[in-house]
Amino acid sequence: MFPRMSNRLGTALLLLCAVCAPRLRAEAASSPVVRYHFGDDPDGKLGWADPDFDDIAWPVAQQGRWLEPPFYSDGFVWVRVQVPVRRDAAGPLAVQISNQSAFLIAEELFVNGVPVGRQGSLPPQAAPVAYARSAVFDLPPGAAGKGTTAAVALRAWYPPGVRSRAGATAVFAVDESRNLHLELRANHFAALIGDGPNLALNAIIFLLGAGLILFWRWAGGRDLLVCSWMLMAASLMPLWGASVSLGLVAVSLWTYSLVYVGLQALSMAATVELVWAVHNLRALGLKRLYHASWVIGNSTFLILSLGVKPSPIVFWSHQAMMPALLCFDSIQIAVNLWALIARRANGLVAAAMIVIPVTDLLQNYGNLRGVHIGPFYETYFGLSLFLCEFALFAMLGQRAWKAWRARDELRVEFDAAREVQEQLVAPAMDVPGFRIESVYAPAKQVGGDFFRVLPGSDGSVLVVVGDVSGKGLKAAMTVSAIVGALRGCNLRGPREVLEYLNRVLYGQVSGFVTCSATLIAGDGEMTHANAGNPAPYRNGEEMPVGTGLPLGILQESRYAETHCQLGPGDRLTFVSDGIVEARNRTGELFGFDRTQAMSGAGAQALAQAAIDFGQDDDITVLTVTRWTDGGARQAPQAAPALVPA
Amino acid sequence: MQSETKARVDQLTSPVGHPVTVLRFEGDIASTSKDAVLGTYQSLPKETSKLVLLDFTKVDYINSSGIALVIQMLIEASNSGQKVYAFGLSPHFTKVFTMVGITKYAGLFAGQAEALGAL
Repeated sequence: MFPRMSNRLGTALLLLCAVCAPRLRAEAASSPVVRYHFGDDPDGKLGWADPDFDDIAWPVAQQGRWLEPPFYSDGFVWVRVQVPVRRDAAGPLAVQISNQSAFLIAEELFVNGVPVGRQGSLPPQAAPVAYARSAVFDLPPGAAGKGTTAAVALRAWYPPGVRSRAGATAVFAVDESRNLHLELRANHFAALIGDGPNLALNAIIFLLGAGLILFWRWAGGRDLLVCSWMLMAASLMPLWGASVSLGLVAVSLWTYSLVYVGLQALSMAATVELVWAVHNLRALGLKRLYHASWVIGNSTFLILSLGVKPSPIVFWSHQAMMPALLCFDSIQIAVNLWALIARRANGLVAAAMIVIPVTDLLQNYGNLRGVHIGPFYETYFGLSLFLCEFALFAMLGQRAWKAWRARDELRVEFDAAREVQEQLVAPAMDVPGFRIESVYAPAKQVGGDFFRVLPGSDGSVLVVVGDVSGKGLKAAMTVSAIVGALRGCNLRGPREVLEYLNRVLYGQVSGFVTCSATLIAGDGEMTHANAGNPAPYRNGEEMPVGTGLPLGILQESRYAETHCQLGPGDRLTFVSDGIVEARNRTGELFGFDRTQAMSGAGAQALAQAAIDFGQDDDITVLTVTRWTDGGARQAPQAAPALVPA
Repeated sequence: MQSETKARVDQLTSPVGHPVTVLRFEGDIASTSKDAVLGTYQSLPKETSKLVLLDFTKVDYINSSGIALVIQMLIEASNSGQKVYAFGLSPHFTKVFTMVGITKYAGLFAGQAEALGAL
């Protein structure tokens, strides 16, 4: 009848059956006596599948629940039950087995001694299925008679990882094939409906996690990143499990287990990192123990899932898995309880993160199961996961939003600081008698390098180049003080200039300032004093100059002067240490040799070469070329923008 | 990219029989190395550590903030009347140390044997 129904009517009937079928079947099954026996009858010589076999000596499964075989055994258990067949059954017959919580099993079903179907593969080529679904197997003609009792025998094999548990049950029925198939479909549909809210909520959690990833790319923040990973992995895990158990995805046990354990491990690792990041914890020993517990828990889970022989490694995995997971939950509870008291600002996050392990423990060691709402079912653990994950998403999302706003305001402040610094360290302009080219490339938004080119009324030019140790805003503030001091200074002698700056800076800076001052007279006579800055290069050759302590270290530092004569067309190249200490990915330095080799190539080329090599610090290059014709003041060199490597 | 600074203290005897304290540094030296550099130096008993060697053999990189720490340590040593030599610097950082005037406070040597011999 069903195939001839319209699709809409068929769907409606299916829905009705989905809601009612499990209850009807449960009522119909009048609890026949179930007997079981450990061991195997692989070739049927013992007759365990035969209808006439006398199983009176076999233990009776209490309330239909038979025990699983001992760990050190062949893993087989046979179950026999006499199932009545309706006299008024019409059409071909079939047998149905409704597995209850059958996880990791391979099974074969016989009716009156006739093998009718199997799930998974039994030893010697053992390949259990992750979830043994309810199944209906059509009986060959004559295998069972209407109005009689059929001897149904189940030959089940349990891998070592799931032996010695609390027991297993199944419901058996022999009835009209079309009815049983219809009921099977209805049961699957009911399972789908029952899991619907679970699947939908996990899909939402996954999308929230994916949304957090996008938000993280925009706003940054380690806690946001690990939270997004935790949400996505934790939601994919039940989605994957449900997809396989509902038969939506058909994969091998290997694939199922690897994906499941991978997701679970990722979720637990992200949880550890999230807890430590959110509460800003440092207890590295405890963190290692926390990580070790999930590594042990998941690796032993994988061994238990995939081991087919009862070896010591499987035995000890069996012993270690639950304590490892208990350890994981306990650390999560303890750390978050501590945070609840000591890190009150994180109180809500801590409270949310306590809920998950508490419900997990109550589920594993207590009697906490789940709740039925109409046709829907959800475990308390699942509900706590949803609540916690939503709460985490909301709280961390709000926190990240505030942090992003604060950073945005800070960015505006930095932009303003950069504008001010661009005024203070403006590109140098040619001065009468000298051609000037400069490049200033801070490693961050603002830098700690500085230079000043100060022409004199006598045709001379004073060049001051320096570098504040460190970088960023702190160094930039010191640069402002130095430039301000130079503006108020009428000194022209390099030694006097350095000693003046040293007095200004002493006691005012936490690090030091390297600096060189060079006075070039109109006739080319050059006087140079150096306080720890790299020596200048003259026409590609490093100049031998005196050295001195950087500024700001000793109150009474003294600096020697070096003199030489510059000819027409001679070019001096001043660099900051950001050039020589540019580092590539392997840690190799740009170094003095490369700097010297490129010092004649011009400021732009030298700076760009160092940036391409690997900028690690502020970079300044300033070249001063003595003109032969005492040329007029010109506009700043049109320097192309430097491209970061 | 930056690796953590580690510091270790060894006690040696110079060829002429004087006790020598060796500070052996490892990793990069930067602004975050204050405890490793200054902290380790300041933990030395001044009265018994009159001769100090600084071992930079396993130091990969020293930035300007790290050099500031070394200079601060050398000035403290100078004020305490300690004699300090350094060895194991790469040619690059030997040049940098010379450039910033560290040679006025500490002799620079290629290896430990040369530094010990000069004490």
